[in-house]
Formats: sequence, structure tokens, C-alpha cells
Amino acid sequence: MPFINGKFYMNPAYGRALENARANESTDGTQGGHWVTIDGRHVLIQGRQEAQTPQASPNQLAHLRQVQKRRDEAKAEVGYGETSGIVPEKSADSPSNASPYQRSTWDPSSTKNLQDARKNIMDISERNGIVKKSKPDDPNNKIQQSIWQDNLSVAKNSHGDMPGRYFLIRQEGKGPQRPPASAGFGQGKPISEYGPFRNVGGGDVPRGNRTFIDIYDK
Amino acid sequence: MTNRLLVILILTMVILAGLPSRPLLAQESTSVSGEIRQLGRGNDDRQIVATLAKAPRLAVQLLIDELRPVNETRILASEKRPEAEHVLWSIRALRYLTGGKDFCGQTRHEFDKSEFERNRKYWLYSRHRTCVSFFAMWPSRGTEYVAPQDAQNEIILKWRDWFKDQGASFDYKPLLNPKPEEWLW
Repeated sequence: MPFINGKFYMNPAYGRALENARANESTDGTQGGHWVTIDGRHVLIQGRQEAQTPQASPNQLAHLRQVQKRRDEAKAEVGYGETSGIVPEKSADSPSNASPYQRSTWDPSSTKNLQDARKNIMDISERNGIVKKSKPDDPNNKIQQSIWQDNLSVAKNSHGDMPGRYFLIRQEGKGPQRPPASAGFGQGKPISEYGPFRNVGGGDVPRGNRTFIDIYDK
Repeated sequence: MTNRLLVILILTMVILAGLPSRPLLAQESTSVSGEIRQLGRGNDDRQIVATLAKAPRLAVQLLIDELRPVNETRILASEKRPEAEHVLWSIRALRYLTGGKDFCGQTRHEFDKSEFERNRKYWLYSRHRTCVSFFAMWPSRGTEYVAPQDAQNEIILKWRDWFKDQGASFDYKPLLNPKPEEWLW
């Protein structure tokens, strides 16, 4: 966990923001501490005795929430930009003509697997920022919005702890199964693999039901 | 008379002294040219670029001669376009040999709203932000997007002008164990 100003934070951006807010205040007083809850997160604010503990002002809390929101959205943009055309596998008992976007027909295990892959991709983006970022372009498009929400929910749990520095999205049986040599990565074996999923969008990956996301560290 | 003899003697010595080095230079040039011709044409391109780093100034000069506009706008990982790849690899080699130097260009091209054009615009602007790269790669797809022709022409001219002005005096320090994003994408 990141260690910021003498404290550990699960979320480095959040910790830095909080410590910056604290640094703007005077530093009189002896060490103490108290917990506050911000957006359902328990945060330890240390630094003074209770009598002198500076409560984060409403403005500071609002600022922190804004920082957190921006950070979550930035992560979600990575997941959306890279995987918005991908949906989980269909569950065995769903009708064959079901729309790929009909969530009730998604296999729960595959749905979790895709969310894990998204988290891994978002984590990688902390180390390697050359990723596709995008947001839904139509606020009235329910499919876009639901996929955006999927990514947003994962983004809140992305803290950069999952391994890897690169990833490749491929369709099994169609096209190359490894990155081209000119990509400069993926010449060894992937360190993990997610899938199969269904690629119903484009994004330069052939469409099909055997879509995999491979994670590489070199 | 004595002076004339002296001048002739000195000139003869200078000519004789230069003789062994000329074939060596020509040999080196031929060898580097041969390596450069292989770029992007199905060989181990990274190994070729590493070899070029042994004579970076000459290699840069010859690589700039290889630059020309390409017609492709996108090369998928599954596609083989050796002539275009040759030019893209020449740009990569130039970045590598010059320690990461890269030029971008302005374009009058209007990217439309299609998914392809939106992706192309996104990636071409991703490195320099205000102008487009000659090409850019979407790493998770292995797809290469190529700049519109007007920007390609501008970038080629910038390389030529730079070499004409600074090529002789430039301190060539090839990249050391670069990350892919520093020269390949």
C-alpha cells in the first residue's frame, strides 16, 4: 500500500489528495487521529489531539469527492475504451436469439471474469498509459450507459495492484494470437489470460465468441 | 622548381593516404544500406536497428533517404504491408538512433465520425497532442494507424531539414534498452 506522509493508503491518489488538504492547514498540536467516512470509505485523519483535530471542511470533503470521482472516471475510460465491444459469454440456458447486451442472459462466472480483466487493464494503465480511453458519446444509449457503469464500478476498486504492463485482445482462431514483433512486447507467454468472451463490437479485433485478453509483463 | 616538386610530393602522399579509407567507407555504406533495405520486410527488425547503432550518423542519413509517403491508413496486426512497414520501421530506427527524436505534422484531413477514423485520430494525436505522428500503434490490438499524406510529407521534410542543419554536429546517442512506447509505438 502507498505510504504517504507517514500513513498507508489503499488508494494513492486519494491519500495524496487528503494529505495535500491537510498540508494546507497549520501544523500545531500533537499527534492524534480520527476516522471519517467519505463516500462509504473509512479514512484515518491523523495529526492532532481530538480537541484540536481539524475536521475536514465541507469544501475539502467536496474537493476530495471530486478528486475521487475524476480518478474513477479516468480509470473507467480505460476499461470502456479498451473493452466496450466485449460482453461476457451467454449462460447455457439462455435463448439462442438473445441479444448479446441482454444482461440477464450473461453467464455470471464470465461476467465476473470480464470485470476482473477490466480491473487488470485499469491497473496496468497506472504503469503504462498508452491505452485507449473513451466515454459513452450518447447519454440516451442504454447499452453504452450500462457498460460505462460496469467499468465505473470496477474503477473504484482499481488500485494498481494487479500485475502486468501490457495486454493483447485477440479472437481465438482468427488473426494473430500474439502481438506483432513491432509492438515490442508479448514475445514470451502471457502471465494471465481472461476469457473467452464475445466481441460484438469492432475495435480492430475480429468479432466472435472466443475473445481473450492476455496480460504480459514484458 | 623545388616548391613544385614539394607540392606534388605532398599531394601524392595525401592521395595515397586516402586510398585505403575510401573502400572502407564505401564498404560500410554498402553494408548499412543493405541492413536498412531489410527493415520491415520480414526480418528481425529490432536486431537490424541494433546493428545500425554501430554507425548511427551514416544510418540516419540513409534512413532519411528511405522516407516516403505511404498510402495505407491502417495496418491491422494480421496484414502484411512490407513497403509501408519499411517506411514505418525507418521512422522507428530514426527515433532509436537519435535518442528518441520524433517529428509531427499538421493535417487538413477531417477525421469523420466512423469508428475507424475516431480511433485513427485518437492514436495519431496521442504522442504530440497538437500535431499528428507519422504513425501510431494501438498496442492492445497491434494495429498501426498512419497519418494523412499532408502530415507525412511535412514530417519527412522536417527530418530532411533537421539532418541538413544538424546532422553533422548532432551527438548521436541511441536509446538504451528503451521501452516499446519510446520508439516502437
